[in-house]
Amino acid sequence: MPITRKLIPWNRPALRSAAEYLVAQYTRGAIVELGEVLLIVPGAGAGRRLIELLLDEVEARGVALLPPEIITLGNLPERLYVEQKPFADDLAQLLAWIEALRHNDGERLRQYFPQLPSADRFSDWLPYAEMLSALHRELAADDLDFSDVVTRGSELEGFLEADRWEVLRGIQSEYLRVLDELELWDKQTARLFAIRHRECHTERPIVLVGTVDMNASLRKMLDQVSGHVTSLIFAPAELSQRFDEHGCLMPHAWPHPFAEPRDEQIRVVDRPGDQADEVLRALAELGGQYSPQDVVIGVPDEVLVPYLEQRLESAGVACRYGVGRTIAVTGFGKLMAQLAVWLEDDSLAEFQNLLRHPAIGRFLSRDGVSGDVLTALDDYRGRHLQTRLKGGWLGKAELPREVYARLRELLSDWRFETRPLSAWIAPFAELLRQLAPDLTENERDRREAAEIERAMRAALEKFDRVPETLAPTVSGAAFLHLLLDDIGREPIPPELDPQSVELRGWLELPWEDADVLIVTGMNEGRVPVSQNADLFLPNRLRHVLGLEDNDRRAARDAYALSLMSASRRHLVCIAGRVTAQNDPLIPSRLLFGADRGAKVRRTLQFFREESHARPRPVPGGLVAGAPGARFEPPRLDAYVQAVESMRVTEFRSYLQCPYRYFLRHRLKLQSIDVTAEELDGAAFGNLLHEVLRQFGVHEELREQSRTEPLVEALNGLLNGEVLRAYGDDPSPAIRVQVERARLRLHQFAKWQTEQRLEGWEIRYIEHDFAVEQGAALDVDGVPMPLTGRIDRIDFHPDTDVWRLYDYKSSDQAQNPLAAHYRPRQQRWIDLQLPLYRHLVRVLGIEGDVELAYINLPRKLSDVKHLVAAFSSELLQSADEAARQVVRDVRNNVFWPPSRDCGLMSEFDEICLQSLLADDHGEERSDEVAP
Amino acid sequence: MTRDLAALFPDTIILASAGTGKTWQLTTRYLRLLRCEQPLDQILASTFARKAAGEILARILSRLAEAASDEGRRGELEAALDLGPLSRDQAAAMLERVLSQVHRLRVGTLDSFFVQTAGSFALELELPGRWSILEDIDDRALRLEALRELLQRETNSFDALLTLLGLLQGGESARGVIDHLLATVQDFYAVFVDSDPTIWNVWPVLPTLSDGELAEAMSCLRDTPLPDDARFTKAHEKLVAAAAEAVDSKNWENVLGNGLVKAVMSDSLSYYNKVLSGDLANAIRPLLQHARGVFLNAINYQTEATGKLLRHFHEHYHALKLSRGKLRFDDVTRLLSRHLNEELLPQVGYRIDAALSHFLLDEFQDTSLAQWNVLKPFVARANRTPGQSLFCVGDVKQAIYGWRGGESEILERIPVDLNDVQMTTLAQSRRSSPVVIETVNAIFGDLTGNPALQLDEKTFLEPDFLAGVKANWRNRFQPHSTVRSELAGFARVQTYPEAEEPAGNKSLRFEIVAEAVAELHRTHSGCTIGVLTRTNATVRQLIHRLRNPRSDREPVFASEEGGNPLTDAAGTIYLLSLLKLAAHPGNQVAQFNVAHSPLAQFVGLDGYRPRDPRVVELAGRIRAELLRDGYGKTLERWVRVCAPSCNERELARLGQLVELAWRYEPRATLDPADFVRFVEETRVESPSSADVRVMTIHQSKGLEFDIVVLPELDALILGGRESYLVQRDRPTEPVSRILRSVSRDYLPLLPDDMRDLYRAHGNRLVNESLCLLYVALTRAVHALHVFVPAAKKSNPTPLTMAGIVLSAVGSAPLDPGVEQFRAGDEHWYEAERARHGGILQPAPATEEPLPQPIKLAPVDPRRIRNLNVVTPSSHGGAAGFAGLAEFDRSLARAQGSLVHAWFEQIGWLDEGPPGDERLLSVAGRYRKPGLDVDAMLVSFRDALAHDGLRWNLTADEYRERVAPQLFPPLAGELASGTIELRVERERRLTYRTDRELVNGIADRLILYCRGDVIVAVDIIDYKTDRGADADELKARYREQLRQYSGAIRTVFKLPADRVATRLALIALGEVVRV
Ligand code: SF4
Repeated sequence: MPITRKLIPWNRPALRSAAEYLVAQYTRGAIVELGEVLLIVPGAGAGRRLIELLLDEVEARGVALLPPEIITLGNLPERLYVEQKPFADDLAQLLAWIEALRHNDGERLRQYFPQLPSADRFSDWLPYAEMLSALHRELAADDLDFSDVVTRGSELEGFLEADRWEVLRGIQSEYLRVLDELELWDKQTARLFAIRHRECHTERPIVLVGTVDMNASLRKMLDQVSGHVTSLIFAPAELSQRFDEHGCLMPHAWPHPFAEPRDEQIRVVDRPGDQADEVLRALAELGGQYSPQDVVIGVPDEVLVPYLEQRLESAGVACRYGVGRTIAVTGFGKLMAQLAVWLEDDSLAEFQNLLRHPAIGRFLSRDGVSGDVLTALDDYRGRHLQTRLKGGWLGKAELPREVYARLRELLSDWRFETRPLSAWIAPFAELLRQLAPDLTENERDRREAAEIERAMRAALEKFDRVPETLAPTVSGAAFLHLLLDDIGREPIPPELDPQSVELRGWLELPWEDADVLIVTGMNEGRVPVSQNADLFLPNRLRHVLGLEDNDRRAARDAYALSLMSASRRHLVCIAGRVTAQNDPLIPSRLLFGADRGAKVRRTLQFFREESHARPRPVPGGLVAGAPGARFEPPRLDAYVQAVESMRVTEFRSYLQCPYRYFLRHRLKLQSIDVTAEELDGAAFGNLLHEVLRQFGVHEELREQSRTEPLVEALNGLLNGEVLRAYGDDPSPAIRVQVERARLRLHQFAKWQTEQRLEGWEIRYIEHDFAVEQGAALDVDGVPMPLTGRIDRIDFHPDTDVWRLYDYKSSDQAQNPLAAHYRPRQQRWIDLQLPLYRHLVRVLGIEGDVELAYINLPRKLSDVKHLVAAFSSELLQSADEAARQVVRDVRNNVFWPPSRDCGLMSEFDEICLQSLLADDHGEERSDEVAP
Repeated sequence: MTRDLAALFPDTIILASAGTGKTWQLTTRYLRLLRCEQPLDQILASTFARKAAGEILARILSRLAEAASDEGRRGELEAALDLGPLSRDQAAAMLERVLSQVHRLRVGTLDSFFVQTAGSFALELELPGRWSILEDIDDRALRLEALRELLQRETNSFDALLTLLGLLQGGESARGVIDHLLATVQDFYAVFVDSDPTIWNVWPVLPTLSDGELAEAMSCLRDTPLPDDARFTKAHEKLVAAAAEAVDSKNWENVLGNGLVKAVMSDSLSYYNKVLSGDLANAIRPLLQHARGVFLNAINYQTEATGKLLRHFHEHYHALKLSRGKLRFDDVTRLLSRHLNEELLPQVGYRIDAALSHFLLDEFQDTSLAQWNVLKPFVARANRTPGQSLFCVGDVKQAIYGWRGGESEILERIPVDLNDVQMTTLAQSRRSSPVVIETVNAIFGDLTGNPALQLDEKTFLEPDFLAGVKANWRNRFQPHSTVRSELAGFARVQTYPEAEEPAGNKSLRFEIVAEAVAELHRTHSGCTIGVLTRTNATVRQLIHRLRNPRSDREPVFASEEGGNPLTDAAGTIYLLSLLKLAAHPGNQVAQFNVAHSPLAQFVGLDGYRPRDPRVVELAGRIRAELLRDGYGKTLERWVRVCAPSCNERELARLGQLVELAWRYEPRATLDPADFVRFVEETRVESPSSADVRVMTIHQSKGLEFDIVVLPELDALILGGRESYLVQRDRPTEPVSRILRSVSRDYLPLLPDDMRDLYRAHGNRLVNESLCLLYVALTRAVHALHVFVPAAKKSNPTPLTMAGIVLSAVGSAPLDPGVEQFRAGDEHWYEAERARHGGILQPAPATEEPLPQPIKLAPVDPRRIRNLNVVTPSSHGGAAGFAGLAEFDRSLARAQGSLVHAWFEQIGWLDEGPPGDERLLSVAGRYRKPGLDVDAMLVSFRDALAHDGLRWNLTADEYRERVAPQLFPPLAGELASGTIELRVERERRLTYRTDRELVNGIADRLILYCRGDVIVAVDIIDYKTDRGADADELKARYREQLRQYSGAIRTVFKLPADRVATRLALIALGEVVRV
């Protein structure tokens, strides 16, 4: 007896018709006796919805429902035979493939897999195992094995790969042998076995609902129980011939949809965002007749989801994407991933990322650790530029130390060791026990936790089941990765929100019964998907083998669109012209219509040149509340306080930009940059300064007039300072920098001994002038106390000359005059050296002094001092400029921010610098970017 | 179609000048192939830009559709195809055929074709397991990582590393290490991977003096007699000092810069018009020799060190890419080019499912050598094989992608390398007005005589070293004509006025161009205006100035091609500050900025003082929010808060930021600063699409505008300092030598073979600039407005694009701020409008009415779909990971499941208990090491022997002993047999509540049926728990059973006293009521 085919017209949503049909067929008295029935649906979503519709239907009829068992097509085979051996789950299968590959490893295999790993690392083999496993599964689904490809492939003109498949066949039989030895079966083999031995059997009625595309092995199984099988086909009677005896589509009978959208139901727009906007317009057109429950938005192309979510959210339409969140992106998933990363890469950056996870924050505070450890770590990293704690913590670093120790303890089991896969389960459960309260802080987390736990339990059971002979030995991090690989992609269904409009994938759309269907992404390549090249199974070979090919996919989609179109009034199909990456798109071939006339008309419609289409208004968007307004940096009035003293270095900042001056010197705002991997200009300068300071405090070094001992001493000081600041194992880049600092210091030593021989004496080193010392600049009769530090003050006893030095360690040597004064514009840009004159007065140094830089630049021949050629008039003018600064500061002149301040760029975000366009990075005349 | 294919489709190269209809040529060829029934999947039509690829396909389809619907168009197509009569229906049939195979068409970019081909040879090409294209934004990070690894590895011999780095930086002690390395890699990597590793050390080491010889030379110099001239004495003194220092520092540059040395070098031997004595020259020569040797050797060592660095870098970088499964397009092309050969083509055809036989290659001048190497086997085969064909379109005059590897010379070599290739030149524009075309002709018609290209004073190389490029252009440039003789047009070249201070010139120029463009826009409504620049910085400047007028004109919102990072809006900056704060609570700048943003109150930072303690908690809260809700939702909330303070543009940019945030989600990390970097590095085109478009000349390729404005033609063509120079023996061969470049001042020091590299390089630069200029000018349909700086007196014809233009069309003197050239009619716009009656009018402003707001009807609670599915046992259970903590790995679970499965086999025991065979077969799927099925079978049988269980599972006993106790009122009917008992096993129970679909499975149901009516139900759930007594178990499962009972009552509409819920406690052998 063949399968019973039952055609049901498609002018109503298919699942509704199915529910009606089933209730009508199976009502016995007051009970709808579907309890024995096995209902096969094309997807899980359709199954759930069918139940709801059945309940609606029985409620309407006032009868009781003994519900059917509803399963998806993929789960049907195991209901039709009794398996003789336990199944190898996917993990065991992969491991068996790896085993098989290794067993066959040799020249012949490597001819086709030249990249096979040589080492034992199981994760390196995994991609190849996955590749073969997928091939095996797909072929077996159509009742084929690798040797069938060798034989049947020869029917194909130009089939060149018999030898390659021959090699694959060898691996496949080894794979089966491995499983066999373990007394395991894979499902594919079990099914084939059942088919070959005609073991398929059932006593239950089987109803196929809309399963229009089935693979060969399933058909063969159904054939063995055909007397029990009814196939519900949703199509008008006149299309009966386009379905085969299993109720499946005949690929060549569906060159186009047989019910198709009308011209005005098709909208072709440009970019992904425009597609989303078009959805909003389509919603607005509904005019309030439909509720969110009546509308479904189709997204064949997942990349559109963010655009839709963004536009809908902002238009106030809640939406819900069923596939939405996966375990990988939950707090749990991210924590596990970060733990794995930290275990692998014990860097401070990854440690800090771990600390950024809220659960870790909670864990620590439960543990009694408090304080702003993130900032403490930022500070530590900035100071010590350590990437890894190879040599332990530097300095005190109390808080980071404590937190680090605590987390190391939490993971004490996890470091260094490798263990058999299943041996990680217990430590993992323990780790979870410790972290569980922190991972389930809110309602949402708890709900997700239940889902995650279910998935995880399945995964762990699988890990536990792995046959001993196949079990890989892995590190703790690898265990976590493996676990996440296994469950990370599992979706966590978002919570029901009746006010949300559903977003659904293409495969589910034909089974939707919502009144309004808006389908986006109706572009060729997605609807239908086509495959035009393949590593193993190109389309022509697929065709010969009877595997799913382009024709079958196209037929399926043509049918799907027919169903959507035939069963409802409100259908809108939206296609785009380009992707987010500006790749051109064309509308799906299914949208061009059945007859030639439609094709011509729609081609003209779709490809009409819309020159300079202006953005059309979109319903429901946010409204700009302040048209014409512009943001400005905040005024500082609220922070202004009387200035009691000024450092001599502040003047330069003020001259550059009074606004940033205030932020830096009055508010003392600091930014944080932890991206540095090596010493920046300031740190490099500090290092040199510190060495030279220590040099200066040693009497005997100051007096030294021979270069070599001085060089040696400086070496020692440098090494000591580097050890203190950067530890005994700084990164290679820093080590290189230290060597470069050393070169400069050597050159300095030469210069220093020459100076000494010329008779110069160092009198002060890094001398601090605090307010109490009383240095001041008289401004309009009111002294402004000056503070600061002078790097070095030398005296020549023969000539009675004082020379005030500032060390300069930037790559380019600097001329002190040019660094202070722009003669063309007669403008001071720095006043530091001239102001030194006022500081040193409190040391009793009066009258003419020399002001100089000691340059320690990149070019070693430039390591020497340069005395500033300030004339006395110029110095007068400097004092006047300084007074003006003081006056301005006293008058609270801190506005406006300068537009082109090259300095203090850390405040650019406050100054909204990037809006000014003028300073978008340096201008390079050869910059070309298409 | 009787004529033979070879005659219909000869291999052809079309050299198509700008605007001459390249796409038309290519699509015509395609349509001819289609008309001749060639299989569509065997035609590869490729180009470079994705957009252009889309256009080709669109044109193929629309030309057919137009011909099918319009008689005139049909005639045009018939004529173009030149294959006999073509009916409208035939055109429609052709369209139908293309559409039916649209998925098989191979019309796309070369890159996409290569990626697809490589994908199907992934194993053979040794590509990583799962791979994807490495985006620019991730590439930088990967390069950094490779460098870090490199440094780490090389530290094993730290001294060697130091030496290497020292050589790289020319012996200086610069502070930065990584940035310098990164820049080096950026500069050299492309040439490194495309060439043989040996090219880095081909230059011979020059001899230098030994210490002894050097001392001798020094003393000789010191003692040499000098003429009686203070200038000589001084120079000599300086030379001696410099040489002494150089001996010490090994840096001889100061010696080479000395006037006397230069005099010796120049062979004229003249210094201040006095000839050096032979003695003096001879004293200097050995030192010069030495200095030159040291100097050149340093460059060679530096070149060599660069090669060495790159070799190391490449190892790490490549390995990293493979391990991450990331490849650049270049990598794919290179791998293919190494692997593919003609023998492999059948296999390629097999795997990509099409034996390609017709090749239509557009923009061929932009093909790189590596790309050509991939294509060559295909093309060579097509060239030889009857029935296959080749069709290349390109224009060597538009080769502006040399910096990306484009080798326009390949185009010119094809006729040499292949047989019987026809070459056609198109020089008739279908785009531009006669004025534009005449201007182009005036500029390019006589480059040989163009004074800007005369190089006597401008180079240290021979004055005629540009002869090569000039000759090339003489051959390549045929005077253009235009079919559009009816078009009115105008061209003007004017010089910029000068600012009071030279420093102000740049700003002034921007201002002038912005105002001029705004005015053109105002007076030429409906016209498209393209402002084409050399640099991105200028694009940004001009857009900014157009938008923010300093006068009272209307702002002009020009569209920016490619876009800018979203940080050009204040709102973005505030949101990013908040994210920075979340990442680094101690970032006071971010704190301050948030506290003064529209978000301050929303996030609770009102009344902020620096170092506010509230930020730590705030940062934690935001990180938790980002993790819980994602970036898109969280930022959307913030944008809502900001919207009332925003203007339209700000809000639009914020909308794009939220969109970016949604897109970012899949790559979100725990560090919000990663998102900040992502935003800062991602360019997002501003949503406005406007008549005025500002872009670089490169970006304008393939576009046309009614008016073209060229504001930035003033960069010195030979003025930049390139990082290296290369030599190729032929344009189609890989690099054979490379040299790190030196300052042009030192060119005279170089041996002739090194100078060759400079000659070739100079020619390349000039050629590329000519191409750019050509592309820029030919974008115009009607009008050209060129702004150039006035030339300096010292160099009236500088070698700049401006200089070339001015020299060709201008007239001396070239003062600032004046018009230098004009052609055509300044009032062309009015003329054109009069002629067309409004074709140039802006489309009538059909102000689209503001759309209706979105309104959705209220939800009917009974019609809620897609309810959450719950199972009774999941209700009220403790959520969290608690359950997992005691993850049950024991056999207990497997045993429990098996026992369940066995009980499921039992209907009524008195109807025949399940046999061993059946039970064992059921056990098959539960097998597990350690699971003793036989022993379990024994205890299963034992359990059944217990009265408690047996009575409940035996029909007679149940009716007699159990049922009357459960439902006393039914005792009579039970005894009389009016009530039938029906067993249901593993039965689903389903009902819906407001928000849930409750879906459970009852192990065993006994339905009490009076005829069709069910009057009572008994539910039994099997429990295999051990080690607990009945009361404990009852408590444990009470809730679950209560739910079952509820379900039954709902489904069968029974009162509570007609539903019994019971547990079958197998370990205890009893059934208890709960
Ligand atoms: S030196 Fe190091 S340990 Fe000490 S305070 Fe600074 S960061 Fe902390």
